[in-house]
Amino acid sequence: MKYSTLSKLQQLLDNKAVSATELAQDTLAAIKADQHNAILSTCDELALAQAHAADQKRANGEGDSTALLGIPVIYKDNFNIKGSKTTCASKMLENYTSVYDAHIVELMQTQGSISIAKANMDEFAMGSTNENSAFGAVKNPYHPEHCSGGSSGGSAAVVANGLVPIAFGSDTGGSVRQPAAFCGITGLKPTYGRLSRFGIVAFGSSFDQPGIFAHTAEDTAITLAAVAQYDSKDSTSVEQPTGDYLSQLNQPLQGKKIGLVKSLFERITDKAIQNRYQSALDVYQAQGVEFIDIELPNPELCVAAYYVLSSSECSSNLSRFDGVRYGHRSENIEDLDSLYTHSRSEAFGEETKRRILLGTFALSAGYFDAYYVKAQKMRRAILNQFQQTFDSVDNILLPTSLTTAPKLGQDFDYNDDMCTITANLAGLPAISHSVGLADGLPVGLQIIGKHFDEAGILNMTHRFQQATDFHEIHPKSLRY
Amino acid sequence: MIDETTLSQVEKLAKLNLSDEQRQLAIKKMQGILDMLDKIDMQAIEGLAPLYHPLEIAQPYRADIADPNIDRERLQQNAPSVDKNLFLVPKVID
Repeated sequence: MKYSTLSKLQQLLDNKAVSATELAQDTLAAIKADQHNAILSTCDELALAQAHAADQKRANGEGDSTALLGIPVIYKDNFNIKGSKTTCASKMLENYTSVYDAHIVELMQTQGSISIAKANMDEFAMGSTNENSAFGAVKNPYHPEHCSGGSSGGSAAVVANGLVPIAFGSDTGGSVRQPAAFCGITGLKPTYGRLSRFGIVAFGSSFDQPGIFAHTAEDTAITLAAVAQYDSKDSTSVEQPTGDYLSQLNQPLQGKKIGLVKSLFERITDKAIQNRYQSALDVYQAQGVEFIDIELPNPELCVAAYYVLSSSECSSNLSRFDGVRYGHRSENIEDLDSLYTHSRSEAFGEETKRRILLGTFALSAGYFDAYYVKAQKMRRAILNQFQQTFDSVDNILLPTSLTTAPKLGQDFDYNDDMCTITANLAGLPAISHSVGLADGLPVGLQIIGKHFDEAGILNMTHRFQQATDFHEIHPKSLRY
Repeated sequence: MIDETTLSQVEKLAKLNLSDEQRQLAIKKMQGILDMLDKIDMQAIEGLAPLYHPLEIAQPYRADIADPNIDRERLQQNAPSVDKNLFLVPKVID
């Protein structure tokens, strides 16, 4: 059952080749034997109770039409699951137990899925290599000396390693798409507002969006359809009809106008990666798409605007961790001020501290207009440019990253996020799918769509996956 | 410009302390972002309204009825120090 897609597992469950309980037990055992440091905690008791209930439903004939009944799912450790640990990979929340379910978790569980475990991540979702986790980095499924990407590195690795068909992450500046690319799977960041953020620990509230990891566009579409619902508990959840993601998957691509961000492809220096991209573009061209060269705003300036804005929002969001109501409290306290300062200084990791400080600086008196407001104006310019571009193209193709997964310990610069952050700045839906391996490591291609056109980018990905078999390449995880 | 003095002021505002080793890298990384932002051509963004949110949507109203909340006891199980339903902190006023 390893590496099975959601659709395949559904068939096995429906044909009674396996029960939900056996599947949950196998998955828990595989997680415990796994050597990638991808999981921070398991939900054994909850998972087995849910699996037992799923088996009973199926036995009573209630299950066959429910796509998710009995399907094991893993969530990034910033998703609250009632009664489970939610640490955000931080010493700050090392002992925190969730008291309610995130909206997405609630929807998935209502539809019969099994909440198996919580995945490792960069602390509070800040990072691109998963090395900012307080509990150690996740190893890349294709090579243990390389990173899995970040910040949702654990969620990407568990799907790539075939432990579960579906995992959830969150994407603030590329944290679903980039690890999906580095681990050779499909990763979707929906339009901002499409999925509820309720119950997901906030980092940058005007950027954060839950995302889905899967092997295929088809599994992604099934999962998206299950969780794309308006939520009154999230004030930025949008009451917009969902697309018919599944039925549009196989639409022909003939005549689609696709914008190519040539300047980003040209920044790639590795020949093997260049070759992967050229072959992928040939696959799309063979399906009849028309490529049009386009330009996006200067990537370095987008990176600067993104880091000023997301760090400002982070400094505000993470002020709630004060050692009073939950989280780490220092033992070295004299007064209220030292309680705050020592608790936060002891428990937050270095990158988290830097971002809180950058955001606090940008929001402080005297610098607000020069940095925060300026970055917001830049954000407007970026959105305007996307809107103009989408007057003449249906979708945009660009690399997900300029490199494959770097080695653990290698310096990863903020600029390395330049391919993914623009979609977050503009709130656009984007997906990364594998286009094969370069020197043994996966390469991901990114597609950006118009607001709420998740169906369009899933359609592109599905047609690509119908014409190729890169989504069926799996790491030989057991070799080490 | 981020220097040692500015960083110390920001640390106070953010209720955070960096170690001596962390300070130099923090100054370098923070200044790097601000230097890049300084390169934005002001003419290109002049007249543009700041974009605080990627979707131009109004927040919906709901009926002014209290929703059931999570019970206090369960919430306070995560608190470092609680007594008689109250969060305990060091004395604020002598």
